[in-house]
Amino acid sequence: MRATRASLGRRLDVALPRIDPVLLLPAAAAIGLAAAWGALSTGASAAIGLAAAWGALSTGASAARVAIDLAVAWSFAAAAVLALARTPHRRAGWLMASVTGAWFLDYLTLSSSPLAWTVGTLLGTLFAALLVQLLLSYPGGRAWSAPARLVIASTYAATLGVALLSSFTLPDNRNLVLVTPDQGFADSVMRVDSGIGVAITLALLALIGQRLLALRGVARRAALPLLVGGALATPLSSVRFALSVASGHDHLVDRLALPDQAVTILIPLGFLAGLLLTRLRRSEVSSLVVELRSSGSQTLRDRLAHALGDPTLEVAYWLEGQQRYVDSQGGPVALPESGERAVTQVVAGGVPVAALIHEPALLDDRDLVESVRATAGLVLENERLAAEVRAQLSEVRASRARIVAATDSERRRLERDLHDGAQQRLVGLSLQLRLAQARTADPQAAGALAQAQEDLERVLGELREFARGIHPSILREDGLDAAVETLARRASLPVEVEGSVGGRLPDAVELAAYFFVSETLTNVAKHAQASFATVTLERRHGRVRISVADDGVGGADLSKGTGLRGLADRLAAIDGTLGIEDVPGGGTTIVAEIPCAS
Amino acid sequence: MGQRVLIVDDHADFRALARAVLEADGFVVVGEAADGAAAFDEVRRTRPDVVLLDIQLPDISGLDVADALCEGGDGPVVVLISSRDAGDFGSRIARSGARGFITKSSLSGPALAALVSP
Repeated sequence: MRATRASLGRRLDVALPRIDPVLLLPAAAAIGLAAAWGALSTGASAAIGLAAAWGALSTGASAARVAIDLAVAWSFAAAAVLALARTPHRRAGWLMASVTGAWFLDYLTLSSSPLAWTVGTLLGTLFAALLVQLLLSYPGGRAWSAPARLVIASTYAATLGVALLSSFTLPDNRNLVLVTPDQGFADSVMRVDSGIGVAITLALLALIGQRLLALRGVARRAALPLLVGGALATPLSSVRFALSVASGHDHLVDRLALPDQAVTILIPLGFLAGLLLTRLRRSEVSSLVVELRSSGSQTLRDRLAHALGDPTLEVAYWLEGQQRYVDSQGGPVALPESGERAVTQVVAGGVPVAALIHEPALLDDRDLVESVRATAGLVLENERLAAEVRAQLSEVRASRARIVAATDSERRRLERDLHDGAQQRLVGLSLQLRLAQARTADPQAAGALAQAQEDLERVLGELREFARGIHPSILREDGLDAAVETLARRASLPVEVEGSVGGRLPDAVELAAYFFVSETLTNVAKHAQASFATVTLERRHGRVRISVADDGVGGADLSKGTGLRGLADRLAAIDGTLGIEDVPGGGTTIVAEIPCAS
Repeated sequence: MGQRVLIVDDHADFRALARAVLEADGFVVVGEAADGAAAFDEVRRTRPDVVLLDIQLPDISGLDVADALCEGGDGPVVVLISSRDAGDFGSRIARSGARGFITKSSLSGPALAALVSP
């Protein structure tokens, strides 16, 4: 980055002892305007550059220097024009236009006019502060952080303050602010200025480095080229400042002046490279059309994320019927309100299709998002239909689970009603019969009463069995392990229970598991001709696994009969599975697995 | 003199019938209670030999009442009753402090006597 006034102003002075004021007047006037208008019109700035260059050349300034200055300033002007046309870069555009304008301010020191000389001396290094501000606020236009703000403010203070302070003593007959001529003092001030320059350029490099490490994704892609340009342009200035501190104003410092100026061009070039990369990104989007048609293993989201260069991209599909968004699996998606994430709606034929949820930095390039929107519309519509089906499926699954849960609670209510109502009354009746039996003296009546009581006892037994089939009270009271023990004891063949689920499970899981064991043991007893069965209970990794193994004839089939099918349906309602392992000659093992997040 | 019995059950009809059945068989029913809390009060007041205790009480489980009454070893003999059968309670009856279990419909003086006689 071009930096020290110490070398520049002086070298020009030496090269051009006396300049015709009339000759420089147009240039001087133009440069004065540039300070005010540079930010407003970069086109004008470019013209001003030409005028300044013409003025400078006609006074005998180095052609190489003028050529480099023009190249740098025009690059800034071109970058500024492009930046000002893009909303997100507008602030950077103003700053780059200002740099263009300020770049030629020190040409005023070539003038023989005291006013021009003084203005040129005071504002000749303003461009450096503008550059620092540009770098430390790119791309948003606001300083990144408190340290960045401090460095920007320090640079303005140093460039303007030092210029003023040294001008008070700089011996020159055009100096309007001269107080006491003292070349030694002015040199000392310049040396201090160089020291400050070393500090500022190093701080600048550190902040850019930190920023580049901190940025991610789309924001990083946008800022990278310009910041890298800045980072490459800065070290030479640091070296020149350091040399200047070490040895004052010497030959080497002068020799490095031109290269230092020349590398500044990397900043506007970086900006232009950034725009170019965005263009390339867009051509990638147009290849998306082809890519989307030859649908590979990647999902639509992955391909869109790749095309947009935003790995965090989410796609939400609009379900018109339900007035809500879902993901590709049909799960609900809430669109972010504001802030961290940005939302782009995709509409096809006036109907919302999907919403892209992405990094807000993508909005910096509306065209890019627009082209994706135009390209992917049809595919998104297909994907939306698929998502709609999945959403309906998950809705059906949820409603099936609700139906089963409702049935379960209805069963529980029925069992309680039976127990509290009919069962209690029959118990009372049984006791009344016993009482009547005790009180009658007629042996025939007593016999009849005893018979009646016996029958009633059988009815009560059947009623208890019936109630147990509706909803086993032991399951509700004691959980699956105890209930399975009871089932094993009651079974009509010897049953061994191994393992346990240890503790309680959700009601629906316990009930489904209980009915699985109950039904399966009944089947074994009825059809398998088995001599014994083993029930194994296991619970691990958030799943319950229950197997019923017998040594019977086998032949259990999910597709035959409704018993096993009904069990499989019941398990499926709570996301469980039913499996049959038929061991030829060795019986059958039926396995239920049920997830239980507990 | 027959053994002194406290009947604990939330159904008044059942209590009346049980009282009649047991008294017909020579037991002395010294009190009745409709829930767990009343059962403790009645045990303190009447000092029964036997507590006939329903497992499903409105306030606390009859099994817990049985455990509390049998704590210390010098309390009354507890016999659990229910309109369900013993199998519906798994091993909980055996684990409780109660002497035994009678299904409500099978309640009779001889059935109770068989359990409480030492």
